[in-house]
Amino acid sequence: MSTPNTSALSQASQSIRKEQQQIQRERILSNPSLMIGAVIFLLIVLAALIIPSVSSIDPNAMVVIDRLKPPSLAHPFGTDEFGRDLMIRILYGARVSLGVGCSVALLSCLFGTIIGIYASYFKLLDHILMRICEGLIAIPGVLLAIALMAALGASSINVIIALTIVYTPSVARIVRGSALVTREQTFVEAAKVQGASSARILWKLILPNVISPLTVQASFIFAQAIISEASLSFLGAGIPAPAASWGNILQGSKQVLQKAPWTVIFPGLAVVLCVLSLNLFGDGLRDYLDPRTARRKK
Amino acid sequence: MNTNDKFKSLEPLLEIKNLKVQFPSRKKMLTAVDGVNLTIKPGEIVGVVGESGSGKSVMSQSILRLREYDSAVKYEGEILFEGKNILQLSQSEMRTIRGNRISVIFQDPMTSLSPVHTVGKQLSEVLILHKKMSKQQAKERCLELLSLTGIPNPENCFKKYPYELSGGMQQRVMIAMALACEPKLLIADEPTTALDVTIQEQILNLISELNEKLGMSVLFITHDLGAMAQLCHSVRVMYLGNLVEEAETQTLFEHPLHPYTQGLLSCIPRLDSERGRPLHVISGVVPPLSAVPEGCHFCTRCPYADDVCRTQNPPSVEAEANHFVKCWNYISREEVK
Amino acid sequence: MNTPLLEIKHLQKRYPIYGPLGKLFPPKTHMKAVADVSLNLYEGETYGLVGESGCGKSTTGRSILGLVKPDSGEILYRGKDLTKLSDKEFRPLRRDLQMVFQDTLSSLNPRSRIGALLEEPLIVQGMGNPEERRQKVLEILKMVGLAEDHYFRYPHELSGGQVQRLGIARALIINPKLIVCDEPVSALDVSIQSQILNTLTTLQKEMNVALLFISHDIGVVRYISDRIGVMYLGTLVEESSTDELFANTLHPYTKALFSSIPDFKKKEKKVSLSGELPQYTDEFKGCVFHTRCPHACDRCREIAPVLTEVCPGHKVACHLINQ
Repeated sequence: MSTPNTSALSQASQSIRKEQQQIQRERILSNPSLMIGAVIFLLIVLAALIIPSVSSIDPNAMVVIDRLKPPSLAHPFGTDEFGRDLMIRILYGARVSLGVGCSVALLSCLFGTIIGIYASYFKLLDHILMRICEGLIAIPGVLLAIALMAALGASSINVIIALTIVYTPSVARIVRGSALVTREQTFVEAAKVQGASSARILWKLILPNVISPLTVQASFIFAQAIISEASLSFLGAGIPAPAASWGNILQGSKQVLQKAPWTVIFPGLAVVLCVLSLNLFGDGLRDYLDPRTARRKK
Repeated sequence: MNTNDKFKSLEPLLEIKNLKVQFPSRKKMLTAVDGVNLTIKPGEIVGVVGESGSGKSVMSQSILRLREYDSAVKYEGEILFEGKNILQLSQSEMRTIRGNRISVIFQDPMTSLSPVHTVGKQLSEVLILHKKMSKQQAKERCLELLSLTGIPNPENCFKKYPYELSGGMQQRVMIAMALACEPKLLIADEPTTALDVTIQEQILNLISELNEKLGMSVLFITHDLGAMAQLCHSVRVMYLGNLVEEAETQTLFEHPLHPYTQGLLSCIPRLDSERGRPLHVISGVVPPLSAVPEGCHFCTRCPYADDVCRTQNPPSVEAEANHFVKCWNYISREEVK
Repeated sequence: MNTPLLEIKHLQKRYPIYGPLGKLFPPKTHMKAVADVSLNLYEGETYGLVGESGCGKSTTGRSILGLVKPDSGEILYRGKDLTKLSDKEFRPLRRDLQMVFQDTLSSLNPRSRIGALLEEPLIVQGMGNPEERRQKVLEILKMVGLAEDHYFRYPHELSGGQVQRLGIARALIINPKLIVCDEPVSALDVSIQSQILNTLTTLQKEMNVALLFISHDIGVVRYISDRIGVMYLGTLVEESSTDELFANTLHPYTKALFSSIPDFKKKEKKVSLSGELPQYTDEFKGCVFHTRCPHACDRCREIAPVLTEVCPGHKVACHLINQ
């Protein structure tokens, strides 16, 4: 009795899942900003991962005779003032910048979520944590990062630590806010009526409903962290030379800006393209997760 | 029958002819209103009753063309108001009709009133804008309107913000606002759904009083058959974009012809119905607009449906005097074949 | 009758009203949402609680489940006062006390499939192993009139009536003794409403569960209830068995309420209840209904009447009848 029943059910399950996936797929494909953002960003990531490993050019090899060469076949993006190939340096820089951005986004979301969820559930803790967060938010982000970098010393790990400290408070506030909203919803009440414990409500109901708005936020933090890292490196408080990052390529180029504009244009373009694609992706993701905004756009 | 005779001789105020309203969806056009004919005479209260998804709100909104701002609506047919086809008017011509010749009140008064302005300011603005009154004149007229709608202390209400009023009072303010320009037609879209029964009764009485006093026609949209019975002169029953039955109120409730109307009337637990027996049930659910059945729209839920019903949508026929029904049961089968 | 399943005794819930400076000063006064409500629920019966919005009927129902903490009064279930239990002590009792919400869709976690949603109460209450739970879920789906393959659907893929069936299924799955139904059919179309009411009554008889049926729709309450309590402004003004209440309506408010329901016969203009609900603050004196009552006398304005039994099983709170 139970065997045919089960197999019929699993068949139904498959067809229903397929139908649900089909609807999801249609919604993703009909969301241009999500698609465009994701494609551009993936291209950047792939380029940063593949091209440097297949090409034999050393990003730090100086060729004095090739100083400040404009873009050509041999050097598609030209060379910098030490004769290093700019394209390869930008791609190596992309590894650093994307790595920093990604780590900052992940870490600040992780810590922010833990802080935010606890703050939303325990009132006393809420007051303490939120006052600390507000204190940190009150200081302009870049200044705070510079101060932290001055204390920690320049290295890429420290950049990640400093920027995580900068972005965690805002994530914590967002998580706390949406957790508070979720807590008031009827399905949480219904779970209470069933007799679910606070821990179960917190982690099985509230957390998943908080995470989806958070993924949108994470993509924006990713983009912001790339800009912040570039600013820090540009100011000399970030990734130390000679390692390439978009910020310190730009810094090195600022003296030769007029003689060799391509040394600024290409790394600048890389930052812009990367941030733009992440923001597009984030916007698209928000529309995807909240069908109401998507409908309003028409 | 005498009410009907009274209206019969009059020229229609609003005449909807074969109206079809379509919305684009992802795959195809969805037809929310499918060939509706409706006539409202001056001074008449016409009720349209239907469940959610029947297209009754879409139909009433297309009279004011309110849906054009948020999506690409496609209209077919004619809506003649005082002889002019509303569907062919420009937006600026529409504006002189909206709120002026035709007014509308909605289900939820709180969302239709601005929360940051006082009742008086919002009400007098309508008058200053449409009637070119001075501020003082407008205020006097406002107080007049507020007391006309039965608000006990108009002076006091004039100075209040909408959130300070109860639901019933807000709905009265909405009605006052709708009456400001002495419209010829009032569209009341579920005006009492959000209200309690004792308050609902007050509002229904108010609408019927105003109709008598001002001679204004009312198009009353609702899902509540009881409210409909109390207020309307004649009733249309709507199902999935079609008007399936049309009759005078009393005739319809005493002697419904369409299977849908019959089912609808018998599945409501009434105060005088027998207890302890299972309620009558219309089986199934209203199909979504993307899956409107071919043939009679009610055929998927109708206990009498046969092959003809499933393939051809019946025309509306006058089964009895002034009693129209859109059902094959009232058409001799030989003619069909 | 035998001993009640659940006893509510002198339940009161007030909300503070603060002055212009907010919580800096003690509250100016209190608004009473529920003022001194006592009622008994018996095993397997349906008790209908009717009243207009803001009369405290939902607050009463929700306090049974601990969703509202009352200020005073007792709710006795199996000899325990539910209002004094901690979350942990309450948890085992929740197996017997369940709820169906008005807006069921928002009471279902949008990220869970229906199978998981229905299994959740079983997991939380530690009932059965995974296979038993699955069988139980499939069984209950069939009982409330849903198909087995709804198991894999998400709640938003269902229609309004189906969602309400799901809400009922979730409340019934752990075999409770009492279900508080807070306006379970008022958001539904009439043709769907009758389907749900039939399902609910059939299952109630089958599983012998008591219902506290909260609604503003008197027709529905009359159809489904064995006994009815009429609430006005946080107070129970009349309570009786259904047939008795309709045959012998005593309280002026109940009379007005019944006569204001439009029926299908167009009739002469009725005398409708004038005015609106007053503010029920601490300062309010006398009978709650005196501001709108056509028969109010001086005594009504001063002293609040007490709910007293006038004939077996019929209680009413009105000076005119009680004297």
